[in-house]
Amino acid sequence: MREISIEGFGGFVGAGGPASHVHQRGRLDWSALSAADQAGLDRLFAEQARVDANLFYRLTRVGAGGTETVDALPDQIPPALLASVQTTLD
Amino acid sequence: MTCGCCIIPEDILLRFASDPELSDAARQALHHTAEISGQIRALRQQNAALTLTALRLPLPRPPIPFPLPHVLPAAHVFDCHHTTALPGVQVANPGSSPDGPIKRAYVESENVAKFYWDNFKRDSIDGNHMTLVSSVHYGVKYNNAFWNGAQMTYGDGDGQIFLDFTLGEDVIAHELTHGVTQHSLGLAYSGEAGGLNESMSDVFGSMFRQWEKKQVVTKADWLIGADIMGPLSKQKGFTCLRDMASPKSPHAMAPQPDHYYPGIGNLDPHYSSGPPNLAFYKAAQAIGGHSWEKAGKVWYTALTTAPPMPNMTMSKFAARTRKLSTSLFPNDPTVHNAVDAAWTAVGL
Ligand SMILES: [Zn+2]
Repeated sequence: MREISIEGFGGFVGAGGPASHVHQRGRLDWSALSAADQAGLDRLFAEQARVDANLFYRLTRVGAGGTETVDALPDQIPPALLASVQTTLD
Repeated sequence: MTCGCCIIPEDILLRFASDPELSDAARQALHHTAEISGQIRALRQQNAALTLTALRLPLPRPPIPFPLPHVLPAAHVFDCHHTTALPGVQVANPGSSPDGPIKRAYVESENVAKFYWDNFKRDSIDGNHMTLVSSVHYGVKYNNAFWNGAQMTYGDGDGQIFLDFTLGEDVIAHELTHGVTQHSLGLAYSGEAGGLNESMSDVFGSMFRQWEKKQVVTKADWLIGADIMGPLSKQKGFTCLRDMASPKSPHAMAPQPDHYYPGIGNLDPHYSSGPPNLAFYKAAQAIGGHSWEKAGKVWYTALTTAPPMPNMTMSKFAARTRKLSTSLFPNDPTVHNAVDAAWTAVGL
């Protein structure tokens, strides 16, 4: 695994919508995560559980096998990855 | 040892749990704490699903007694101390806290409960006196607020794009209304129902802001998130996140469509909520006076007097309000005419 990116959707702000000028995105090198965090994320990507929530994050990771995506709740995400999210206006 | 499962991340607990320096008893306690922490998270995720299942059961429900004078539900405020672990540490006497977000989360949650009671005789989020739980100072400069199926959560904002989210009365009523929706129609967060879900929160968020200011519909600004716009956002010309009166407006940070079209439900619910938001604005404007007295009553009754319908369509919700506008106000045809024309104008 090389890196993992994160994008926030929903909540009051509702960032990332089709016409929205506000975006909430971040990224981390996979190696910057602890072994426990990597294992937790491996489980999330493997489970591919459906999320029906007011606020969620879309995680995308890139590795030798290609790109994988999964939606997750904030408390399923390692704090370091969540903290990488930056809000931008276009 | 003291259990700190609510504020210590699970990976740190597990790291300590395998620390050879600690006694067997301490390591085992930490393992148990980590396990409980995971279980609490799983429980919270099941909460919304459980609400829906319980509401669907064909159990006889005794009428909820209305004690007079009404006692507002309790409101608890927790401080996350800039972590992202919920709920955080409970604050004693939040109503007299010198900390702005703590005090506002408490006072405005109670005010939203009073708004729902005074105008619609709803006793708290669940209609049954549920304690209102809010967490503030979530994360570091966190730019959002949300409802997680059990509680409200507020970030401090980065001070540039967004200010502290508790500064918006509409933010607090918006999040709390997600709870009301969960305990009534149980709308999903996707599809057309997702757009309706978001719209309910904007409608009652704006209505609450108007109620607090005692504004009539012509004096209200109908903006969502106007009070949390930071200096950078204002500099770029954004006065709000969404504008219920003019969803497409370029001064909205997240403009929305102002007309329904098939397929709108495939898009983000904060986008597809534009047409139902505009329908409420148009109905309230045509009726005049205070939005919560007639249009608000029709929307509230449409939201709360049916069995859960997680996948409700926009046209079905529109039909309910059309019908209720006549049954609730049989001697005032202007209400039905206004509601009917408002939905027609947005293509529903
Ligand atoms: Zn919302």
